[in-house]
Amino acid sequence: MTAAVQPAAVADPARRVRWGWLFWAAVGVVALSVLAALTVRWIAPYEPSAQNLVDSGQGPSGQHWLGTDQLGRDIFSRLLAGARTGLIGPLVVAIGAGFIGTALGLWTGYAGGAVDSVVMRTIDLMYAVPPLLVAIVVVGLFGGGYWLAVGVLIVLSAPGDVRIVRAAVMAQRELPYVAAARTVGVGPLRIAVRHVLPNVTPTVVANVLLQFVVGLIALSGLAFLGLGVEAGSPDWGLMVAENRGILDLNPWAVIGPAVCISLLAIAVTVIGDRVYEVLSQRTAAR
Amino acid sequence: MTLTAYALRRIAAILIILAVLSLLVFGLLALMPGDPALTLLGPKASTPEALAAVRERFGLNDPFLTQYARWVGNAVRGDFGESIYSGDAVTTLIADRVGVTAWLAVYALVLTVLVAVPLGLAAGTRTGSRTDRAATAVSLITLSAPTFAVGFLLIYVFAVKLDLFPSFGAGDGFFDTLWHMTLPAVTLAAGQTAVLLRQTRAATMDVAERDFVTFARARAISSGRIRQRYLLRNASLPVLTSAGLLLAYGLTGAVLVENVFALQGLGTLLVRSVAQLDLPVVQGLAMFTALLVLLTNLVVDLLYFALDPRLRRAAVAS
Amino acid sequence: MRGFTRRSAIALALVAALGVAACGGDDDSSGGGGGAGVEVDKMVWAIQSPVQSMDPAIMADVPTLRAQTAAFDRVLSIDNNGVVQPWIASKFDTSDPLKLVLTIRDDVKFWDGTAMTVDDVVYSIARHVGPDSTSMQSFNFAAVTSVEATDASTVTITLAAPDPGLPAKLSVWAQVRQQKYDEAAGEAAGGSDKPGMGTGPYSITSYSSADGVKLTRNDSYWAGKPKVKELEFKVIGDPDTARLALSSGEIDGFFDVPLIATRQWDELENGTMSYVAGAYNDFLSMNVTRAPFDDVNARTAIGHLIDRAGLLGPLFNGKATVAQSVVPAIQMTATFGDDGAKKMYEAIGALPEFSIDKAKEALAKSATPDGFTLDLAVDTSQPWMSPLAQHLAENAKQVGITINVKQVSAADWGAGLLDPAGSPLQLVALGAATPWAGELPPVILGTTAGFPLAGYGDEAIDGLVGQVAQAATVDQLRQPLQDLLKGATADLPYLPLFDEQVATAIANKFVWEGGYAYYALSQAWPLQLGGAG
Repeated sequence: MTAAVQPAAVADPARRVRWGWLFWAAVGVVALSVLAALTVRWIAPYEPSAQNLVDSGQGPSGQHWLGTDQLGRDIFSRLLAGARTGLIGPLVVAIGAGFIGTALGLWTGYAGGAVDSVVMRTIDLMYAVPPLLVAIVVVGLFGGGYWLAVGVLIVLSAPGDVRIVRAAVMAQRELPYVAAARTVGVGPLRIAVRHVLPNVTPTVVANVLLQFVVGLIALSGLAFLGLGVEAGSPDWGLMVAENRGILDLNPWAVIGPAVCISLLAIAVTVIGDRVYEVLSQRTAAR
Repeated sequence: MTLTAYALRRIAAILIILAVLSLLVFGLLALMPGDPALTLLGPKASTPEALAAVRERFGLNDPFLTQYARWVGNAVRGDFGESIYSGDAVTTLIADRVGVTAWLAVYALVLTVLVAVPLGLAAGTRTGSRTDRAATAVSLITLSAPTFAVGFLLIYVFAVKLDLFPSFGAGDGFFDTLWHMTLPAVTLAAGQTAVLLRQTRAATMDVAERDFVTFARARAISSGRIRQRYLLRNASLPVLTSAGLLLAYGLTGAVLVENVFALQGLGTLLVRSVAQLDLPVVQGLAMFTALLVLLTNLVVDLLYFALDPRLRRAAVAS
Repeated sequence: MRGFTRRSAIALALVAALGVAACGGDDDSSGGGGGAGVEVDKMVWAIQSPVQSMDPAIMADVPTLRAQTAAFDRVLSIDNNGVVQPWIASKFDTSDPLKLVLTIRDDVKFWDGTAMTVDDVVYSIARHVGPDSTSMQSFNFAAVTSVEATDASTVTITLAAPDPGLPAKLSVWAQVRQQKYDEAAGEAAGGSDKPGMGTGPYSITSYSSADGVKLTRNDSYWAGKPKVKELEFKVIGDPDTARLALSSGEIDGFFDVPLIATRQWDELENGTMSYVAGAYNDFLSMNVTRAPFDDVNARTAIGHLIDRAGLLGPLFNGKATVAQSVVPAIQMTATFGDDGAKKMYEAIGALPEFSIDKAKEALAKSATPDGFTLDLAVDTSQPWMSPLAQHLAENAKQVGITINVKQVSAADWGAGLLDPAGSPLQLVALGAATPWAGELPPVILGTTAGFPLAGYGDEAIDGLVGQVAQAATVDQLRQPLQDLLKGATADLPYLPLFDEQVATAIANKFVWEGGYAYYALSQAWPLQLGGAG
């Protein structure tokens, strides 16, 4: 489901640029996730993988705020630790795909001709098969782990960025300032990087944030199907799958990670939308 | 350029894509770790005789390209071989399951369009309004919630607590199927609605700022008429594109939904075949999926071409 | 070779009880039609994974076998006490250890009305026999050299070596199929277009691996017609979904409920759970021929790292017991009686207790005092494996041993068990089909074992294994088995983990006469079903 998503378009340019409370709330959620991922070793009430069979499958209590799982591990601590795979993989997917996509998009958009045809036909090919299915087949058949899944998602997410950046470049290419730069002898690479890139930045940034969300949802979906992360890792998608069996004993073992995935995804989407609006207004104002 | 010429050009492109894809899909067998004969033997006893028989049958001793040519030759005639587990023809397996998945995809798409287009139009014409903010908020949440979580939530509320809908199975007959498929379709539609809503909203806003709409407003044409005459028609093209994409993806990408609701569709078939390393089925499904996506895109593009006079003129000019 | 574990196929080397089991042969609960309840129109069973074929030569994992055994008669049958009884063969003679002579009934008709001949029976057995056989079950019949019709009602099976388990194997795998039908169907036999022609209590109305199986009662069934007119199998992968379906009346029964899920199933208002002790044995295999497990101290260290008793609740909802040997506990008591089993356990000694400190001590004495790193594959379709492996990995970390848990599919897991380059540490689940305590040891112990997972064996061990394999009476079995298990407990090639129960759910509208029995897969089990009236 990655393809057709585009950031909500710009609102009335007359409105003043204001980040708004929603944006800051979203930044807060992301900041908390980052903080949790970095400091889990010190702030978690329990070691996330420590077992206590006697306390297996308990509901929330003073000792375990969100209860325990089948092996008596503390759910709250595991949620904090889950921020690691929840952030790193999607981040690598977003930045990797953004980097590859932007580079290829600039190149093809500016160079045109044979390069453009080859790259665009390859992308058509990739669009013919839904990314999640490709990830299931590749990770499932080749038995790779988390990083193979991340790698596959980078490759499959890049085409979206290529298309967006290429379209933006092609639009910019015909504008007078680019023509002017060309006439004074500025090389194509320099034009692309110095003149065109800044103008497509809002689109690229917004899309990178969007790819983060897509990566997060895809990776947790794969983990839910038992593909990707190693069994027993404190990963949100995997926790939903592994704790399904104790839904009656401790529903928080399932609700908790599902809420974490959703909250982080919503927060990043909100940030992406606002960043796009604000950046494109600034660009327009320049 | 005529519609026929345009269609022919697109079909040629599709054939090329399919050809390249088939090479990749067939290459999976060569890329798989271990002996291909063992993979194709599946669960049967791996005696030297059995392995030799498999090598003979699949021509594994031939050069790669010969094997590939044979595979393509069969595939073109609709023969993707048999499942190495059940021995059922791959085409039979797919035919058995495509109905469930198609039901799910179409039902979800109908729900998506019914919700997303009106909401997106309303949101796009009055940006910043309460409707707009509500629509944006809803799309945010449904876009970001993982499909499996939405599915469980719906099962818990509507099947367990309220007992309004069944929690599994596909049903028999139209109305029974409709009833059984409602929760899965809503689950699948949730994420799609967000996408289409955002598209419609953006397209509407884009059109709403155009001069002809401003003129229409200046001529005091009622807002209902404006929405109908100008906005809906002009915003329909980008919306059509994403709806087409959604259908193609829904036909094939409903893996998680089928998993949660225990539906025996193409998605569950894929997950199981991958888990069992049932390569002929995986290969057949990959090609079938690609064909579906490409054909859906083709139909959408042709509609687009037929609907939009500007595009036709541009194509003639090029 | 992948198909011998519980998930992918019940029961490997089925060693027959041959009337030596504790109870006599006067039980008739597996025979005779229409004993239970009142007539009903339809019963819907759910199974957890699809029926993959209607032919056991192609596929025979447990859910698939459930459907196959409802439709196809087997040559012999096993009663609720685990004793082999006549079925399609009205008599079987085992007096010659190298020969099995079957007398075939003459009143059996296929669903199409044609008479079953002795040739059909020969075909149904011989298709699993010989080096050319493509049957998945051929390894079960490795000892058989020929299957012949000696006259119009007699089939003689000749063996190269004694195989006391042969009659039991025939009661699961020798499903009677019409030769003419299969030959006309060719490769399509067993599939959805040509599922097969049988003689059983139900004929196949429709079969597909997607939609399940619909069966219609065989009104002229030779053993009396069943009470349920239509039988249907549906696939529901998720036990919670199945539970909702049963409570809403969409299904009437569910086979093989995962034990961890039974807590919620016990609370069903319109259904009843039945639990029977299963001859299912779960264990950890440590290959003694490979580092680090070529040192008994390393194996003992692992043995100390699993809290087997503590895991019974979290993993099985208490519906399992701690295994004391690689022989399932019910086989031990069925063969030797309660006292005899107790004596046996005392004689073979205790397994390592759970203790991190003792694990440290053992590891310090081993050739790898600083620990080692290994992969452990877990089959995602067996819900106890992954948490058990995580438990072991976490405890192992504390003594310096790193165990990487790899989630794999059932197919990958099965392949990994026999891969010589695979990890020396493996989780295994075996299912037995009889109550005979001598059934499983020859399969996994000794250099001659069918599945020498741990590579455990030498001349002395092989000698004991041979005696166990060919023992035909309890007295012949006792001493060699005791010596063999005593050695295995000390050497610890396998760490026995759990004996699991089998859980079956059935709606209160229906009855299973005599209750679900562990040996149902070897019986014409639908005959026991009926409406509760």
